[in-house]
Amino acid sequence: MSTAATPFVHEQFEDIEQQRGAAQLGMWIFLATEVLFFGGLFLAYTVYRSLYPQTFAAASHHTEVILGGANTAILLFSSTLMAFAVRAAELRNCKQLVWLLLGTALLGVVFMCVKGFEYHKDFVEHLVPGSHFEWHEANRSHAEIFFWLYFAMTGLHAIHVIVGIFVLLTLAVLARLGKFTAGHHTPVEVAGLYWHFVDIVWIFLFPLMYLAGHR
Amino acid sequence: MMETTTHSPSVYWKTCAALMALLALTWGFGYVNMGPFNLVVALAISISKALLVALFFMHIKGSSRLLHLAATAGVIWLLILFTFTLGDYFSRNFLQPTSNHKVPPEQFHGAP
Amino acid sequence: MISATEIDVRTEGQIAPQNYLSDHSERSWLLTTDHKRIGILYLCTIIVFFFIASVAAALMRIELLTPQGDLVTSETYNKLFTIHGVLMVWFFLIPSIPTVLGNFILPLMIGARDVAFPKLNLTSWYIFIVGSAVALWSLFRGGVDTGWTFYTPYSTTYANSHVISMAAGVFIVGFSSIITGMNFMVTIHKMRAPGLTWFRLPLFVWSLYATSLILVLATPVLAITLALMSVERFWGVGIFDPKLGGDPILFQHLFWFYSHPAVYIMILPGMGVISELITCFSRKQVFGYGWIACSSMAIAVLGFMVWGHHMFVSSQSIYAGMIFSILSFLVAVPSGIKVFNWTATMHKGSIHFTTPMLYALGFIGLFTIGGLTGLFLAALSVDVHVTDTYFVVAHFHYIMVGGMVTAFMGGLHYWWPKITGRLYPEIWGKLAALATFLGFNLTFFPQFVMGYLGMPRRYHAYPPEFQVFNVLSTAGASILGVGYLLPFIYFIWSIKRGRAAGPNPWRATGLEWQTPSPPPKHNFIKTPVVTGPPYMYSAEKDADLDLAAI
Repeated sequence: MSTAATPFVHEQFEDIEQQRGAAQLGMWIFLATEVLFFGGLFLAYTVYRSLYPQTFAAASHHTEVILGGANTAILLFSSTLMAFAVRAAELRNCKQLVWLLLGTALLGVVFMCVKGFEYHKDFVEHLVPGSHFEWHEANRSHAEIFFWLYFAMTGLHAIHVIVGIFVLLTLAVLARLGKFTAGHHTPVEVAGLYWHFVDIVWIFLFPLMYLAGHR
Repeated sequence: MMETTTHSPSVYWKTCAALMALLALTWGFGYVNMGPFNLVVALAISISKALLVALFFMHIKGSSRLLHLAATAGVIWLLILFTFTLGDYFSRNFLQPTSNHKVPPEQFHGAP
Repeated sequence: MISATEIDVRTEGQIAPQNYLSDHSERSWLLTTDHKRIGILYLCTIIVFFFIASVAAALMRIELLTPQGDLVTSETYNKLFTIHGVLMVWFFLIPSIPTVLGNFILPLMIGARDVAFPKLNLTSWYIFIVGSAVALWSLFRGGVDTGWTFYTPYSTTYANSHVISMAAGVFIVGFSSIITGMNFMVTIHKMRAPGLTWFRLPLFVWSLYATSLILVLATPVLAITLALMSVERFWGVGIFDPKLGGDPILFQHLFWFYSHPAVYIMILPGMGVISELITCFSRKQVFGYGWIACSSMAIAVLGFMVWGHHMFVSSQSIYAGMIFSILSFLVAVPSGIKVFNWTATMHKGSIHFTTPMLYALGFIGLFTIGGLTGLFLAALSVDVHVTDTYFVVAHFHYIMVGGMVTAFMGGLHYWWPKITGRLYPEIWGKLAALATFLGFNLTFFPQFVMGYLGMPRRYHAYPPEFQVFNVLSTAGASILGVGYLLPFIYFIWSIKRGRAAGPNPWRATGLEWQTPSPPPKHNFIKTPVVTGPPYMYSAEKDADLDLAAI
């Protein structure tokens, strides 16, 4: 990658604008695929919640709403930092960019720690589906479906968060090495789109998992 | 075509504040019993949050029509998946024989 | 008229000296980001799977020569039809035209130097290789017996075969599909040559765009569905399990939401190829260009709303069934439009019966039969009788083999001179085309009859009254096999011994023919400028042309 004043244009592109436009479109198309990837799980959730509304509500009471709510706030704030990071990259503010990327990644790590704590609590309370699943209210099997979906959806989301953290850390290192000082900030922009998408998924997961039944 | 540049800091801070306020609303409504409307309200708030993130953090506001299309395509296709599948589930029992036996709400156990 | 770029006139009738194939090292192949080489890498890979899946089919057809199950056990037979389906669908048909011809020709057709993301393109091939390795490993460990449809609860609970590893292989190659689709969409949106507006694009590009739309939107749902099935199988508990209140039909909804559009992934690129072939070898501008372009998009969109026609006899609601039935009739309309337009293109054209044209003509006939029998199946009441019989098997083979594989062969023959700089031997080409046409019909037409009479699919033993049809079918399959083997032999022969093709042996329009054969690494010496519509053929101007004689 060139460290000169002009940004680097890959040879298949005519100019930097075509390259940037292609990268943005490419990432949005990828995000559309992610909508459908998660969408299958959301469909399963919708079907079973409409079939078993009472049990889903009851099962939802066993989730840690305070931790879930805190995690939502953490992700929303991390998205804010990410938006500022993209801005810093565009303004060629290298130092700010590095700190903002690290800050976003750190919030992602905090999210994962809270999630890990939650999962541990669920395990201890025998809410993990399988032979050790315990349910002392009505419709044990339907509650098991709820928790299967809970672990599948938050688990898949968590995998995406972890990938995002690695991407952000990589970008932070590259930023530290001065790769984004020449006006070529598309990787940061595109990573930002991914991170915001991960946030949006959680925005929907939170009420569906934690607030399925009023408390 | 030149895609939009980033916003001023105040736009981002205002969006953040709005998101946190909506989160508080989500939380608050979670403690109110509105029956089936709990879900409607929760989804409406979530959609608002998602729109804020998409419009301002993801810079959809001010971007080209092509990106608008790409951003909404996934959602539209998801709606196709949802509509037809849920249409199946909700119309399975249209011709249920009338009976005097009052069934409890959760009487449907998957495939007959 | 498309203004010509600077073609080196010395290469007329010669192999272009410095071209994309010049570097022979392994490194240059395995680390290439050149879309042309990646197309060839994919070709070599999918041929392997075509061969393995054909062997499975051959074993099935030999077993079915006699009514008794005497060659293989029923368990083995289940594995044979599963492996045939899984490999043919995901490891041959779905990649075929997009990753081979699409990768090679698309940038050339739009005047670009490469696709939008060449490194991602290579990555997609490596992902395909990894997925292929996992699938082959599953095969060698004993394979799967669930059918290519992996229906629950058999796949999640009762099957004793290697379901998870095969599903993992399919899951992985799905990402290859998604990347290819995304790459093509961005390429078509962003990298067209100056003057190449949407409605000046060749119809092959339109069909690749429509295909890419489906690849991108449908494949993720397959991915999550296979993952859900695998996790349920592994964990021993899951959402498709009726014992928990789960619904196995939910699996079918999710599976077919992908798998029906998948059949359009398989046929749309073929239709795009046929549009190119028909117009070139009728020496006539395509009839109803706009209709054909928009019909590709219509098929892509409508194709997402018909999946329930695979579930008419499941416990799906009858009302949903009716809606899916009506929509299935509707989705046939754009396909019909294409067939009419191709026919109208040929009307009063000057037909050259070259090998690609023979394949194209075969396609039109066979696809029409396949498509019409699809309408039989779209009718709820008829479907109840013929579902899970050989009628369905014949229907989809008419489309996928009679349609798609035929189109693939036609396209391969058409663009072979561009890809290699050499001509294949025309007489052998014609012979192979004829053999596949005859062999195909003998293989699959009897299957319509026996299916209608009640022979079920996926059975290795059957009542004796069906034997005559099965024997005809197997006989046809052997001829079909010869028809597919011949091109394999003469294509390889032509790489070293074929006559030099020159830049445009078919005197075709299109930017890909305005550059030497084989093309230079970056496709065009100077970026072309497009000033008019495509397919400006003239039958009068080409009165003395005899393409079939070359």
